[in-house]
Amino acid sequence: MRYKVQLATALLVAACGYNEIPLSTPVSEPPVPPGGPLSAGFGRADITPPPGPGLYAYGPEGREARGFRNRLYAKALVLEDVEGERIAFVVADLAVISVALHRSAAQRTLERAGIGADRLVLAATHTHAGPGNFMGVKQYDEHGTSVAGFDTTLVAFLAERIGNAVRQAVDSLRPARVGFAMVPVWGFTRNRSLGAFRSNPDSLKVYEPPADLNLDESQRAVDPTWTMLRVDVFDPGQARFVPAGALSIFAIHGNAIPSVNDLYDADIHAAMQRRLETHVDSLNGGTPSLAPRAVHLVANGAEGDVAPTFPEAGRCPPPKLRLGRRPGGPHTPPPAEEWRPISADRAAACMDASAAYVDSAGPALAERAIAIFGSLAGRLSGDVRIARAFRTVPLRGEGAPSDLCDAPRVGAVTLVGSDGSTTRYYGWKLFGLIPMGFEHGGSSVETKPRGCHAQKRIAFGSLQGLVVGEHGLPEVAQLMIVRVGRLALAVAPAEVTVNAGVMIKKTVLREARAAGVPIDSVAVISLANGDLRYIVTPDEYAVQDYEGASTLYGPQSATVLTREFGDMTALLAAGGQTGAAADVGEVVAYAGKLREVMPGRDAGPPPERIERRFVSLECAGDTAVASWIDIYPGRLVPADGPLLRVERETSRGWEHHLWDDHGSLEVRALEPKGSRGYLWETRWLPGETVPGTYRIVLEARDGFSALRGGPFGACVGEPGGPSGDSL
Amino acid sequence: MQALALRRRFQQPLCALALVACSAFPNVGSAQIVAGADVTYVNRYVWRGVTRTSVPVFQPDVYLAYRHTNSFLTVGGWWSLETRSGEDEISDTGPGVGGLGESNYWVELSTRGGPLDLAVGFARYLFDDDVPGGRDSSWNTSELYATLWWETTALIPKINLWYDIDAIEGAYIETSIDLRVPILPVAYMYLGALAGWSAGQAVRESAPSQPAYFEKDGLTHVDISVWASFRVGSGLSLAPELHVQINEDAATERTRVDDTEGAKVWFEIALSWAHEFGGRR
Repeated sequence: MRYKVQLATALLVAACGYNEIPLSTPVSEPPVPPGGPLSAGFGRADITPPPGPGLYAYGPEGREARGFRNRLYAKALVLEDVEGERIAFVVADLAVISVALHRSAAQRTLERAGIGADRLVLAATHTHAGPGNFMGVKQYDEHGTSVAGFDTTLVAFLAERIGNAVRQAVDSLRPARVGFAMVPVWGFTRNRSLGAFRSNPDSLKVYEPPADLNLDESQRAVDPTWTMLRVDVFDPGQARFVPAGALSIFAIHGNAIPSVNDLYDADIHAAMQRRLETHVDSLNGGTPSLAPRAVHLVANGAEGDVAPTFPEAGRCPPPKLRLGRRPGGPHTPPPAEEWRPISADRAAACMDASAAYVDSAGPALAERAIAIFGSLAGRLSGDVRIARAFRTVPLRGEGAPSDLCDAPRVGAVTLVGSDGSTTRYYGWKLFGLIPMGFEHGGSSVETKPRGCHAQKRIAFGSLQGLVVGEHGLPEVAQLMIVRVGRLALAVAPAEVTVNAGVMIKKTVLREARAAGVPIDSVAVISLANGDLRYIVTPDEYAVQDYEGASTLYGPQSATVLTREFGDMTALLAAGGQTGAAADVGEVVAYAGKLREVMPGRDAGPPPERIERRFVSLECAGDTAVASWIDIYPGRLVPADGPLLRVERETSRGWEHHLWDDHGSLEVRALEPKGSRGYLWETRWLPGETVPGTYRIVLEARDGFSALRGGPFGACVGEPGGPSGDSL
Repeated sequence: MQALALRRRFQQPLCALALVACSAFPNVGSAQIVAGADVTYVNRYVWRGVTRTSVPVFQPDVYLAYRHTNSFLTVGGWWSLETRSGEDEISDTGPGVGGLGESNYWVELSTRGGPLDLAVGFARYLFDDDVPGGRDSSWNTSELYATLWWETTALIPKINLWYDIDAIEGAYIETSIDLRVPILPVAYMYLGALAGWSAGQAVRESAPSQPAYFEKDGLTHVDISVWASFRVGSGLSLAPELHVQINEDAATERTRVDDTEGAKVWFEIALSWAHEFGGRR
C-alpha cells in the first residue's frame, strides 16, 4: 500500500508539470464590401527552422533535426467575395497544427489583414519531417518526438512567417475567377487499417475504383478524391485572367520519409506542390526564379487510415533495447540497457527506398494535379460567394458534448505506432508472454468493454490519468466549415478516417439542403486548426487499431464531430455572418516543459568573428560532399533565405543549376567548432544530372559575401561507396 | 608508514598501466576516450564460486578506454574494500582487520561484430605482503583471459576463459546463458544460469603447497541469478543482482571459516558512471 502511495505521488508530480498559457482570441474584423468582384491573392513563406527541434509525429522515433532537404513552406490563398467575406487558407509543411499555433498565427493575421481565427484555415501537410515542440499540449510536447519540450520561440517563429504569407496574399488580392473539380485519383494510397475499415456498414463504403485498375483491397479502401480549387487572377499587364495557383485536398499521409531521417523535408507534398507551380509558371511565360510565382497549396483530406503506397523497404525497423556497449574489465558491472538504432547501412537503405518512392510517386501525383488544373480552364467563374462558420467546442467540462467521454484517454496501441510506422514498443509483452495491448487489434481490444472508452484498452490502465495529467491532452476542438461557391470544406482538427469523412460529408450535404445552403460538393480538410489526433467511426473504434486507440474522447467522437459540422452548415444559410459563426472561444494551452529547442539568434560567436570557409570537398560514392565553417544554427536560419546553390560550367560561364531547396541536396549542421564557428555539410546526389563541371557557392548572407567552392565533376562512384575520394 | 606502503602499492601498477596506454596510443583524440567508474556493494564477496569474504565489501572500479569504431582498448583498476570481519568470518584481510583486501589491474581489448562480442585481456591480482589469517602476496598472480558472448533477441550465451600464467597456473572456464525477460516496455530483467569449471586451478597432488583456488578440477559451482541494469541519470546506471549458488567443490562450499553449505545466496548492487569525451552534439 505504501509503495502504491509513493508511486502515485511520483506520477502525480510528473503529470502536473505543465505550463498554463492563455491563448489569444483573435476575432476577424467585420466584412467590408470591397466594391469589386471576387478577388484572390497568394502568399508564400519559408518556415524552415534552424536545426534543433525534434521531427514530429513518429513519437520516440522522431529524431532531432540536423538540417534540411526540401525546405518547409507555409503557402497562403486568400479569397474575398463581393460582400467582403474573406477566408484565408494556409497549408504548412508541418506534421500537425496546434491550437497554440493557430491562435498565435491568427493574432498576426488579424493585425496585418483583419483575418482572425474564425477566417483562418491553417492546415498541415502532415510531413513527419517537420518540427515539433510547438504544440502547447503537454503529452504532445513531451512525447511527440524524441526532443521534449514546448518552445514559445518556435511558435512565434512559425506564426510570424504564416502571418507574413497571409499578409502577402492580402497585398496581392486581385480580381479572380475560380473553379473546382473533384476527381478520383487511385493507386497512390492504401488503407493501413483494413480490419477497422471493413467493420463499417456498406452505406459508408462509397468509393469504388474502375475494375480495370486491378487494385488490391487496401488500395480500394481509400478516399481517392482529389479536390482542386483553381484560381486565376486578373493580370493588368496582359488585361486578362491568368492562372495563379490552386488549393488541392487529397487524402495521403505525408509520411513517405521514414523515422531514421534527421532533416526537415516537405516529403511527398513537395513534388505535388512544386511541379504544378512550375507548370503554371510555364503557362504564364517569363523567366524562371528561385521560388515559383504560382502557388499550390496541398492539404490533406480524410487520411486518418490512409498511407502512401510506399514500399516495405522504405520503412526502417525501430531501435531495439539491448545492453549497452561500453568498455570495462573483469569486474566491471554489466552496462545499462540502451535503445540501439539500426545500422547506418540499413538506415541508408530505408532512406534510399523512400527517396526513390517520393521521386516517382510525387511527380506522378503532380501530373494528375496538372491534368485536373488544365481541365478547369474553361470552368472558372468570378461569381462565387464565400461564407464560413467557426466554432470552439470544449471537449470536457462545462459545455462539452455529453456523448463524449469525460476525460481523454489513449489506448495502448497509440504507443506502438501505426501499421508501417511502428515504434520501439510494438509487440511488447509482459515477461515476453502476456500480451498487454501493444499490438494492432488483438489484445489491444478490451474484451469486457467498461465505461465510456468501451473497447479501448487504455495505456497504463487506471494509472493513465496520473501519467498523462489532468490537462495532458487536447481539450478543445476548433471546427470550421467554409463555403466557396458550391463547394463546402469541413475543416477538422484531427486525422479523420475515410469513413468518418464520409459521415461528415453526408451530414453536411444533408443539412445544407435542409437549410437551403447552395452547395453540392463537400471535402474534408484534416489536420487543420488543431490536433485531436484521430477521429474514427464507432464501428472502427470497436476494432481498436491505431486510429481507434488514438481517438481520444471515445467511440462517439465522429458522431459528435459530424453533428457539430451539421449545425455549423446551417449557419451558412445566413452567409455565416451571425455571431454564432465566429465562436472564437477562450482557450488555455497546457504546455509541456518550456524549453528552447530552437537555437537562438545569439548562438555562438557573431559573424564578424568567424571566417566562413570551405573545409573539404570530396566524393562519397556517387555523392558530392562539401563541408564548411559558418555561423551557428540559430544565427543561421534557413528560412531567412538561400544558403547555397550548385552552379554548372557552360560555354557562357557558370550558370545556376539548383539551390538548397531540392530533394537531391541535403544541408546538415555537423558540430560546433568553438569560437571558430560551426561545421556544416552539404551532400548532393546529382542523379541523372548531365556530366559536366560543377561548383558549390555559399550565398551572400548574414554579413558574408558569396563564397565559391572549387570546381568538381559529378561523382560517379557506386552508391554508398567509400568516402574520401578527393575532388 | 602504512599510508606510504598503500600509496606505493597503488602507484606502481597505475603508472605502468598509464605508460602502456600512452605508448600504445600517442595520438589519441579527445572524441575517442571513454572514462568510467563504478562501485559495487556485495553482501559477501564470491569469486568464481568461492566465498572470499563472508562480510560486506565495497568494490570500486575505474577505467579509461580508447575507442575506435566498435573496439575498445581499456586499462583499469579494481579494489576490494572489506568491512571489518569477525573471528569466524572468511576474509582476505584477516579477522578483525578490514580495509583493502585485493587490487586488480588489467588491460583489455574488446570488439563487437554484429551480435558477437569478443574481449581478450590481461589481469594482475595483487594482495598485501603480510596478512595474518588472510590472503597474502603469495597469491599475487596474473591471468590472460578471453570472453565471447553472443547477443540474440532473447538469449545471451557467454563463455569466459581465464588462464593463470603465474602463481596458480591452469585454466578456469565459465559458461553462462542469460534470458532476457521484458518487465516494462523500457526495461528487461535477466535470468542467468552459469557453470564454473576448473581446468588446472585445483590443488595439485604433485605440489600441494602451491596456491590453488579449488579442491578438484571439474565443475565447481552452478550460479542462478536475477539481474537488471538500467539508467538512473545522465551517464549513471544501476545494476542489482541476486545470486543463488549450488556448490560442487569443497572450496565453493565454504561459507564461513567453519561452515560449509551446499548452496549459498548473495547479492550485489553496482552504481556505474561512464562518459565519452568529445562526442558530437
